[in-house]
Amino acid sequence: MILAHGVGERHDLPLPLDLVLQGAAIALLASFLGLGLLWTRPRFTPSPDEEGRDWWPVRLLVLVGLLFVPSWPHLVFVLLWVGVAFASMLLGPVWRVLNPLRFAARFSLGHAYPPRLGHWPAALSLLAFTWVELVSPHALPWFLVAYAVVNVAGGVVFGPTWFARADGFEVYSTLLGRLSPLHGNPFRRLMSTPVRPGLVAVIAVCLGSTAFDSIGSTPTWARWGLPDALGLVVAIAVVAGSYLLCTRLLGGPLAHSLIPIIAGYVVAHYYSLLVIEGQRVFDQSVRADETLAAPVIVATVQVVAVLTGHLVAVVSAHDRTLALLPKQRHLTGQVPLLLLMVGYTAGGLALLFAG
Amino acid sequence: MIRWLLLVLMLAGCSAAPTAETGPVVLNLSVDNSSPQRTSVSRGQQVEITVTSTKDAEVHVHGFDVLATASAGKPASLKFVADRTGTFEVEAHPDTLLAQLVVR
Repeated sequence: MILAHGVGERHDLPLPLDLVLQGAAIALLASFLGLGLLWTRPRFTPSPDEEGRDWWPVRLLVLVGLLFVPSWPHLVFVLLWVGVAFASMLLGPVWRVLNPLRFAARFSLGHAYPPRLGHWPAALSLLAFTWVELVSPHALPWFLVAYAVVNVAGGVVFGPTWFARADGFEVYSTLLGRLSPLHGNPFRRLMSTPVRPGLVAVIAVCLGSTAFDSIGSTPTWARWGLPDALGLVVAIAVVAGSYLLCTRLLGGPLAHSLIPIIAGYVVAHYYSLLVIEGQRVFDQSVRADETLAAPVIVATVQVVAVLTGHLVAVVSAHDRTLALLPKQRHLTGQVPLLLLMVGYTAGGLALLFAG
Repeated sequence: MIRWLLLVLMLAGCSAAPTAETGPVVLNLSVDNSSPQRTSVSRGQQVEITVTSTKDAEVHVHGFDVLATASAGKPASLKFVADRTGTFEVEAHPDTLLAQLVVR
């Protein structure tokens, strides 16, 4: 992350090369072993999304809390972007509960949200946010104002559906929330991800931007002297392009299987930021305790997170392809996506090493 | 068994004492034609950085709060002890990367 008023002053140590190579080898081996050994008939039935309760007092508390924010960059880049992601993986879709802008839906005009729009507005707002995070952090106040205006307007016009489909942070939090063990079997929760227009775009923005965050902070990238904006857009386009090439028409129905890969990489990438900067959210003069960010702990967390994400992704993609493909293509039809996942995982590990 | 191994690993990580190297790490950098590279530093080692520039430039080592100004004919000099692990940027403001310190 580019220096944003004291957030991201420290990056992690590069992963040792032998760990990267061993991790990639394990991912490759486990994937193809899985292909041969896993079940041959679809096993996970989707579990329907529960209608969340409206916890408006929590939202009111958040709204009041915003009046006392000591450092907006810490609040947004650490608590909101990273903290909400981690909390969602553990507890479920927390942003739906916390988002103070959701009050706007109480004054809704009740228009129907156009199904064609799907998650496209969410993909755009996530792109705008990662642009601010990685290319021009000083635009943060403008982004926050625009984000608030757009979402209040959307909430008034379309009601709660707007937030569930078009609010980038809520879509991100809800996707990661499918991995939470508190809401039933994560595999079944992943399977029930609704396939909507723009879902692949959301996934590509999340994965591509995190990848570029690693690329953009290497000295090699600085020596090339290319604009960061170009790198961000190319990284997202490469993720989207490679995914669509490997899945063809099944891109939408298989997109949920990339969520664990995103989660694994997000944990690997942001773990140390959360444990160090998380201590400084309310008081930036504190020198954080770095025990939990000791090199051996960070490296262990990174490798375990990336590999776990990979394995969960492979299993959920396997199960879904069994349901989608005709029987004679069960084995061969899985190979392109499997190779792509090995590529993303090996690439992710390599980025944690790259200089 | 695995739990014990993890515990031992974690304890080893926490109690690794700062290792004092003998000499300081010396870096000579230039703002005008910067070609950033990574430099390895042992935790606890002294770092001495000299930065030349033909224009006034504020040089900053992230994570250590070390700041100095370089101007034509008057290089900036930064000296500090690398007492925390991680990768840290040496940067001329606003955003010219000069080097990265990899402190283990």
